[in-house]
Amino acid sequence: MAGKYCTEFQTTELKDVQASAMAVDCLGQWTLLAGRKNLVFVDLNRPALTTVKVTRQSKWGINCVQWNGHASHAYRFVTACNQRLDLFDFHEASATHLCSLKAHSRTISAVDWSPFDVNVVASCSLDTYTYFWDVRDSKKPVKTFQAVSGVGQVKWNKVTNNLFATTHDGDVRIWDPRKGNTPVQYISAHPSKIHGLDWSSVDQHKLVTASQDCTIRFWDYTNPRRCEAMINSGNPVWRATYTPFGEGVVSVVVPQLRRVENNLYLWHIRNQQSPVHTFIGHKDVVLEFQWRRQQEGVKDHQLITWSKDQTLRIWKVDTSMQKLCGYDIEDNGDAIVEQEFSTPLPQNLLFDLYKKPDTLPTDNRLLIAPKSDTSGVGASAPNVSSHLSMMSSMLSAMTLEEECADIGQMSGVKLELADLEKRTLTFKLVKEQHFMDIHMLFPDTYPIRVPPHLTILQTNLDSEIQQHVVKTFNETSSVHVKKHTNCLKHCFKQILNVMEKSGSLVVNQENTTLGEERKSVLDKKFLVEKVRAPTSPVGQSSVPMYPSGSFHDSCIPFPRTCGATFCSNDYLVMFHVPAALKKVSEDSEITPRALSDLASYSHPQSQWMRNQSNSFVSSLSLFYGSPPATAQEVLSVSSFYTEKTTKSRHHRSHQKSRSKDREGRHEKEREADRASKKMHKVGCVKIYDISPINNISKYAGQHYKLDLDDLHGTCKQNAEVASKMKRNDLIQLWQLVDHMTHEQLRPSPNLEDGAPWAFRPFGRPLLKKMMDHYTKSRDVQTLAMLCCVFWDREKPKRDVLSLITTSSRNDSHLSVTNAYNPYHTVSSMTNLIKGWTSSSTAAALLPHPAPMSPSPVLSPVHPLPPSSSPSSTTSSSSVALGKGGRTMAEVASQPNLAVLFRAGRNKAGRSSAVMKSKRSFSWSESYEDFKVSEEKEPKDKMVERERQHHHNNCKMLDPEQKSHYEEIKKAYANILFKWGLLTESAHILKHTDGGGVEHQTIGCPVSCFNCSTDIREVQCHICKYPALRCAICHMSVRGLSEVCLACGHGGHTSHMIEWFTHQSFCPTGCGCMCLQENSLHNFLSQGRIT
Amino acid sequence: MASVINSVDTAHEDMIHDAQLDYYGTKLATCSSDRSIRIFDVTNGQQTLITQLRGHEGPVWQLSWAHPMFGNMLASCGYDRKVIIWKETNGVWGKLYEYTQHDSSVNSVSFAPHEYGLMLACGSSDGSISVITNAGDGSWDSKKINNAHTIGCNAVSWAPATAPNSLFDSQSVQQGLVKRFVSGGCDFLVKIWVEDNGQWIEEQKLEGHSDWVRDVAWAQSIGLPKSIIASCSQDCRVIIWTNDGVSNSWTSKILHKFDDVVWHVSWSTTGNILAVSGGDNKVTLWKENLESQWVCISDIHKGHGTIGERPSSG
Repeated sequence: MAGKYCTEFQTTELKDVQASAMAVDCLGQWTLLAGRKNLVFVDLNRPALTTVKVTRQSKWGINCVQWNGHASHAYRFVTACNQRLDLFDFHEASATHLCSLKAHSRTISAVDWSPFDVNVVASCSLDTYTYFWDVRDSKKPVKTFQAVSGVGQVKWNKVTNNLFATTHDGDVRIWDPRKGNTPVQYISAHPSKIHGLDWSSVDQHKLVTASQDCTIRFWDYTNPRRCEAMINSGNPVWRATYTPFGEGVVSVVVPQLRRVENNLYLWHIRNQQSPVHTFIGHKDVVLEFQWRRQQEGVKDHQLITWSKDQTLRIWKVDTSMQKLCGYDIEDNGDAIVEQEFSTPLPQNLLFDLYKKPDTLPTDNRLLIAPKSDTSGVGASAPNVSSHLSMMSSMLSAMTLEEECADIGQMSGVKLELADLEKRTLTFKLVKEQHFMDIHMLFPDTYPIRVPPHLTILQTNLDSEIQQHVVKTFNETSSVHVKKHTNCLKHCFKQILNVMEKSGSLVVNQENTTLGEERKSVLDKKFLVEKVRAPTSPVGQSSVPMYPSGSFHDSCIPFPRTCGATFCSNDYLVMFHVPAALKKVSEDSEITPRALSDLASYSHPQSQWMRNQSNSFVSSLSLFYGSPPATAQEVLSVSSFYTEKTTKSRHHRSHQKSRSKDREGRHEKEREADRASKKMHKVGCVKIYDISPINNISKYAGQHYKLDLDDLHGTCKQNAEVASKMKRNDLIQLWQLVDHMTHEQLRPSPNLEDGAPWAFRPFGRPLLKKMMDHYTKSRDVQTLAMLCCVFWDREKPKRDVLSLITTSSRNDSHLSVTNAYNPYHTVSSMTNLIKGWTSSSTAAALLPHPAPMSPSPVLSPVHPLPPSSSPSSTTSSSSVALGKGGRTMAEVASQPNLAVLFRAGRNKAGRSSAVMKSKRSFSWSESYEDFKVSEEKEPKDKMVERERQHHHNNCKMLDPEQKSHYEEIKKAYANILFKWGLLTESAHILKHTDGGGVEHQTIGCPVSCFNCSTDIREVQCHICKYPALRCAICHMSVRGLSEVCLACGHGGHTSHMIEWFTHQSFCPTGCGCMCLQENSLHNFLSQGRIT
Repeated sequence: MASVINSVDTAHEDMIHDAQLDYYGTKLATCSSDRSIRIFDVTNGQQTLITQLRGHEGPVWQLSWAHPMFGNMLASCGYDRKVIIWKETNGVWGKLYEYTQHDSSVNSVSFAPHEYGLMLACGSSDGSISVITNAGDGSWDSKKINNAHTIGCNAVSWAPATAPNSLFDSQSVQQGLVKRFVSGGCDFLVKIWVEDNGQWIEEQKLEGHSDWVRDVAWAQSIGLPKSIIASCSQDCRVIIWTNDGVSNSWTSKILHKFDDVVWHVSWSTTGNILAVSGGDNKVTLWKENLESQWVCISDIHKGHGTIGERPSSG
């Protein structure tokens, strides 16, 4: 980086000012520093002596301040405080408040006096308004301009009246006040927020913007689509203003965390690669800088800067520096001298120059100049004697080539690359274990007053030592070039000295790579990852944009650093900030809301700023009130926390001294220190076992018994489990349940036996009370166990046949069980009908065995919504259904008409029901039949209804709430599953109805060869005829079997495999090509089901 | 009473923002400002680092495990506007899918109950909520609720698959489960969203907080008709919202006003204990007694070993 240590400046430290804004008056005499507590006026001619302090009482700081730019009203200034503008006159060391201008509804972000109208000042605010005020009329603004978004900056054009610019996040608007509330131009300048804006003082079309996206961009507003030039500074830029001379721009960046780079940079507009000069000195963020108006005839300019380090610095920008910005001094004589020196001159010409003092008329003037400049601020203009010595020393000056040769003899210095055309040299310096690659650029005028620029390319030195090296170099070189002597040799001597010293600082450094590693780690830490901007407003391929630090951070919640989450069943996972850390903020302060608030915590000195940042409005204004934090700082939440031992890190100097102390320690120690620090930053994640306070227990889940056939034993064991868990309530509960499930209390199937137990006070109501209690404490384990114990299982009765059965477990449960009462609570009407129907048809068909070969059928079962089935009207209708509606039930549940047809044909003529069914392939017909038969038997209906009622009353659990109980059981099964108790989970699920949804499976029932009833087991339960005879051995098949789906023949799997390895046709000789028929492909392509 | 059974040193380089155990409680996933996610095997008290997942370009805010029926799958969201779904295949963790349709930081991610299939919701600071579904054939589909919360959405939480309202309504049982989730945002609101014909519509708007809502949690169903939601906010309050499962109205009850902002609420499996954590680095556990009063049963202070039971008033 091009650097030059500028020794000619004056520093005034003003403690306790805590000013947030600074302004220099147009006469160049007074600087106003405005803070929350007071206004301080500093006489620039005697900055150390003359200060006037005016205290103010306000809870708000001052956002911005500006002096009137007209000499006639130079004593007048305006301050912006929160939403109000205040006008003051400053006379004879006292400030008089003139008036307040109030109209803004949110914080004012900038003010600017009109350069053309002495009475007009513009102000802008986050409330989206820009106002013009006439100071003679303080009641209301004279002009109002509104935009859709908040305004960050407002600046009058310096050349022409009737033009001003405002910034809105990343956009710039150019306005003509005469044209009212419509901007004359929009510029989408940056992808991120613009912090600074300035108009050129020469060209009315030119302006410069500085933005969070790390660039400074130059614009001609007549061409808003293209930015004329762009400087990428690598850090978010806070301000960029044109220099009053030449084509220069001064910028100040927002420094990255812990990097001491609070420098101002001077750029030449056409050289975007590197700054031409760096003003090094400030120890903290530079808040404001302004040019001081110069006295007549003085060529040097002065830059006034105010920084958070509470120092006011005055920098002299001499003509050589001005020249770097392309400013040609108009005075001929001087210009000639400069020009002539700029090229290597033959010695005789130089001598000629020396002999003719009249060619240097400027020096005489310069001689007078310091006297007129009473300030004495850096007024070390050359005098005659120095000038003469310069001339004489010039004779001894060497050319670059000679200097190179001279350097080559130095030990530890190696010339790596020399480009005399471009006047650049690259050296490698080696001292002890340290090395440093440097690149030097020699300006044309070197060594006349202009030192070479130094850039460190690569080194294993600490960044602090690097800084030291740069500083040493700048000092040494500037001393020498002032005398117009070559400086390289001296500089290198000094640098090598520094390197040697640093070597002793880091004594125990084992090898250089360690240091290198550390440096690369550091670099990485500071390296902010660049992401591509979504859209580049200037059409450049990729503009680096920081993912954070953007405006939107104010909407992103503050990161969680502490949390506890219940996981699985018994665990509470907890993470938090380690106990050794505490919040940077005071304990009384509540944690901020948004990520953007973090910015205020990353500046250790910004206590005053932080105090303002609690409200939403001021957290936004933070972006205006001071340089915002950089991406890195925002990203690291850890900056919100600090070690408990350190009270607070209010002073950067303190921090620095700490780090210096550390520097002295051994490297190993440092590593350890860092490691331990890292450990501290991240706490352990703790996993708690919360089972002692949980209401469910894995132990119980494992050991609870559930056997409905041995309820007494179940209750006994469960009470024991409860006593082991020390749950007294559960011991009592299980004892009670034992009594409630006593054999004597079993409901009698006989209606005449009186009310069942469930109907009595200690029946269902007691159970309900118990359930309610455990519902309240959300003890799902106990609830589920109760549900299971009192669950009325409708036991499947396997020996009841159904012509078409599904393999759904659901159905088997719901098949008719009881001779006296076919009615059960079922979840689906379809099932009920089906179940009932099959039993009645079985009864009907019993005496009529039909000669028919066993016909295996493959029937997909479709779950049917009750609404689509005609039999879903009422349950009481199923009596009638028994006689006439069989087919309908089948139609409803069995879409496979072919099967139905076969079934129907087999029974043709044997019963009226079948007769009907034969005719009833038409839907409507069968429905009519059904209705007619329903009306025939109202008495039966009544009886059935009563029975149904009775049956429901026998149940301990309210059938109305059935689905609710099912859910509890499922929830508990799920919990058991989470514990990994798979068997127990499945056991609980066995006690559920499987929900209302039917499972889609494929069943393969066989009809009895003898009596053509359906066989579910190995033999017909009626005629004991085997379900399947093996086609090979003619024995009945028990165990594994294989059946052809086309012809229905089959047998033992082993026999079938044996046969079909050689043959492809049916072993019975029926002519079926079984292998071919049964191939899956065949099935799919022909859609063969039967 | 409750004791630490495992203390995992994550070795993250920066603050941890979320830690989650998987379904069985055997794997621990943590995410941090250092842009990485770490997965540990914590079976039987061990703490073996299984893998470190890198892919986010900013701090990672939240994690969510999928149901084990989908394999070992983890979703993460972060400051870099990304939602990444990670999956273990043959013992190797890798990126399965990356969702990048949000315009700002994604603050919350949550897998839906497994009954809905592979589905997750994420809330972002751009104000929108995305519901991402896997069609089953490997392709991913997303539905975005734009402007769900003005300024930004901070949290999402799914309702249990057995939404109580459907229990008594056999129609809805037949038609399938009603999908619902709750979200909280910078507009101080808690909103309940329901899927209707493939579209997400706002069913309820719960007003009660006076600052940003930081987290919401829908309690697991234990087969009861009652729905319970807990929400916490920057206004230092935790509110318990209940619905009786019959009507459409929600009643609110302030659990407690804390000293500092509340960041996170979490329900235990059976919904009887609520864990509350916030900016003051403390965790408190709350339980509802039989008189329907919420009482604090314990404090966990800055990582002391045990959760001591506090004598409860009920």
